[in-house]
Amino acid sequence: MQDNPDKAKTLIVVEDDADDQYFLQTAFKEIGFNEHVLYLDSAKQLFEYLESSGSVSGYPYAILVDYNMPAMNGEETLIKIKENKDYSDIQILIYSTTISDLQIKVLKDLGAEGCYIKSYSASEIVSFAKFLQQKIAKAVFR
Amino acid sequence: MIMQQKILLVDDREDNLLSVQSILEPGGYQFVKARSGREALKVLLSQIDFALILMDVNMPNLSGFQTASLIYEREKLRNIPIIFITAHGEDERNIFKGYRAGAVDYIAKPVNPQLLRAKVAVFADLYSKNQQLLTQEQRLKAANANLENEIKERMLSEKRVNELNRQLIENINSLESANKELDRFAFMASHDLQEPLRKIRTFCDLLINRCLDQVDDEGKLYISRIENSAARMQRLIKDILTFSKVSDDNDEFAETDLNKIIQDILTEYKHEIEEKKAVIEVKKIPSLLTKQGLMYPLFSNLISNALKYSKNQEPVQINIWSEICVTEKKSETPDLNNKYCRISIRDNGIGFEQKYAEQVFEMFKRLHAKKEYDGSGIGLTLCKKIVEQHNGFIAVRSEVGAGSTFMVTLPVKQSVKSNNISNGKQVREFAP
Repeated sequence: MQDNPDKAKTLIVVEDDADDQYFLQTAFKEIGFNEHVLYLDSAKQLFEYLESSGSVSGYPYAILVDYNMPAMNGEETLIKIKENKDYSDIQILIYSTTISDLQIKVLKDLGAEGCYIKSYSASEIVSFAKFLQQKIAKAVFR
Repeated sequence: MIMQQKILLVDDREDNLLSVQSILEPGGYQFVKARSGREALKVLLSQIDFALILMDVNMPNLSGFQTASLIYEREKLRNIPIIFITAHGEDERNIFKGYRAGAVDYIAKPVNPQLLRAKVAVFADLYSKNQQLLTQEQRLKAANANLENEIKERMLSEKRVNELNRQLIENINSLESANKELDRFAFMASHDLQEPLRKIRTFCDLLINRCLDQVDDEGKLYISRIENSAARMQRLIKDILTFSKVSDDNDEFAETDLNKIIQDILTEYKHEIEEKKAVIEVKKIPSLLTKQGLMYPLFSNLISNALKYSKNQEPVQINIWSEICVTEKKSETPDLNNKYCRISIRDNGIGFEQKYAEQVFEMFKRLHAKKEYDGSGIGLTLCKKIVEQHNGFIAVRSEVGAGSTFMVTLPVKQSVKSNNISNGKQVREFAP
């Protein structure tokens, strides 16, 4: 990752819940990937970032969006991102405490790269962080 | 008892009155005497129940005929026959015809006692027959009125039944919607409960992974207790969630291979099966029309119960088999759906007293302490709900120390309007 200084951040996490942010942060720190992750609290912040700093320093490779958020939820965020051609290369990943098969199908149809259920154990969160790291690494070194 | 018949005697001469009375006395009549036409009219103002009037034609002031005319002017008196006592025979007879024709007769003076008795007897008989007819008519009228009342009442009660019926349907509908509401609530609540719970578990995990060396033994015990409770709560919430989804499920009925589903379940419980050295024998089950998505939780719960409630000393033996049975339906309409498939799941576990056979299907009903056998208390309630969604039934036979046999009975075919069956039945039963 270090040989890619253009990209300010390779992954953006949009999560309104401080605890869930903390869990991911802990996991990314553990695998040494945290410096590549930007944490935002809402979809509003995400679009502000993408419009201003994002267009200067480049877009992230992936955005992990929490499904259940106030104001604009994961699905609405996904739709709004997909409306803008500038963001068409960004992979959108949705995650949630519970998510039904039907919801997953809808989200994938809307263009989500993947849908994930929030884990109950710290070690599984670390595995999830590693999985995200590899997914991004593949995209970066493609 | 025969009513004494009343006769009105009208004559201006007392001796005539007395002689007529003495002639008729043996007939057992009651006599009312009037000394003039005017007096007769006066009597008739207060009494009208005379079988007959015997009237002298020749009377001063008002003659017999004039009196009769005045009597017959009154509607109520028209049915009382009059016998005129005439002095001049046939000539006089024709005079009254000018006034009126009707129940009128004549007898000439001097009065022949036998003839008088005979004539009076004829009229008296006529009167009593008339009276009988009248009473009969009254009785008929009363019966008719009763009948009308009865019809009215019946119509009223029919109305009431219809009203009750309508209320019943309304109640069923509101119950159904309340049920749906409740399920939605259960779904939302369990969904929202999962989030804080997930955090409790994750923080516990982090505590164990990262800070355990800073915690003494007592603290470690507390942490493990928190973990256990949180894990239990998670199972509970998951079960409630599944339960609330069952009625929400609008799955279509489809041909289902239960053998494959049971094999999948056995694979899932591979670890427990090996641990308990369980021998599981599954005989082939015919394919059935089911809501496929619900078959896995149904049999998964029953199989996991069979594994869970085992005796420590003995190796676990579980048998699963099916049989087709035909039930006699009470309904007269020809129904092709009386073919059922009964699937039995028998274990050799601890069992329970048969008196609990109904209760075990109740929500949160547990027969054992959590310490001995863990569970959410929802599993069998869920099974029952799933089976009922298939218009089937579930029952259990059990004996302490000998094990339990759960029997799931499902229709081989499903009627098209499966969801409305229960409603329709109740409505029909209450129809008048």
